[in-house]
Amino acid sequence: MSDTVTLERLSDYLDRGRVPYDPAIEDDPSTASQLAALQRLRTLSGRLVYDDAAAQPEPDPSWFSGVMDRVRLESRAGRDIPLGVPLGAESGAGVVSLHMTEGAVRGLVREAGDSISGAVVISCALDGDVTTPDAPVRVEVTISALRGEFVPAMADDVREAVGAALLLHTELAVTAVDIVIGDVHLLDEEVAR
Amino acid sequence: MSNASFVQSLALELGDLVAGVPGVARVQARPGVGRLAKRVLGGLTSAVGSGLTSAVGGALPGSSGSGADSAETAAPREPDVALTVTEASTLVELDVAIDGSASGPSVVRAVATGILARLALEPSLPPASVDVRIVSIL
Repeated sequence: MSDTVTLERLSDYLDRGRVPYDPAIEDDPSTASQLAALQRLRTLSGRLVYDDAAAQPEPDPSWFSGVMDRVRLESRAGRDIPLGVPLGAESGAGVVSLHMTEGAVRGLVREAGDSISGAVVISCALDGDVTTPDAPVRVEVTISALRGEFVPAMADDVREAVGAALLLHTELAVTAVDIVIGDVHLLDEEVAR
Repeated sequence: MSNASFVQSLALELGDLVAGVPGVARVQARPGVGRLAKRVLGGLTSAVGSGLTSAVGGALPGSSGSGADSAETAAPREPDVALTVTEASTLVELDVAIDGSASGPSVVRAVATGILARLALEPSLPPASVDVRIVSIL
């Protein structure tokens, strides 16, 4: 389903201002998550230049598509994460099971991290048995950091935003939110100087 | 009203009810539910959901339907809520997208409570189970 919607199609759709409404994009959680991530990346894309000096030994020339590949991978529904334990039928009403998809949680983390100025979430890992209520879960968020930002403070802001989002929308027993600085990027005006 | 149209109508009503719960941004049919139900259709009394609008014979316990409606039901729209009724149980399955300003767990609990309250008004239905899943936070 969502795998049939290419990055080019998402990009064209954004170019058209998201009109006419495309249900294949907007109504599919995975594709909608990719669209949101692409839109956030685009806000930065005109200003982003990969920082060769701070890059890994073999810099990826397609950083942008690399991030989007990751977004696509992580936006899939994945595991069902329970919201509390299923409620029994004390009143004879039946059993209530409430869940959240892993893709929804990752999308939540990505949006929270991207909301911090200078940070772009590259990937998100949920380490632990998320399918068992109250099982300890460690969250690792790898971000690309804007050069010139005070990275430790930015990492703290990302950690705080991600923690708050997880607290509001999930019932995961999060033991830690670890931030990994995957790479550093810089603004083109810095390069121009 | 036949079993199929009763279940179809109820599923549509549940979808509308869920869409009206504060914090619900969108109600979505759960992918695969229809296909799964089709596979076990022989054991069902009636089932509706995305990709599944047919019903098989067997009256609902206590319902006024004859139970003979085994033809495809011409539905004006597909319900986003999958509702499966057997002799022994009623199962409601759906996916929701949640408004980012609301608390996801609180919203889906309100959704489940609303569904159970509505189904409680249908004494002909067997005990209901509700399965609600958040698929995105908007």
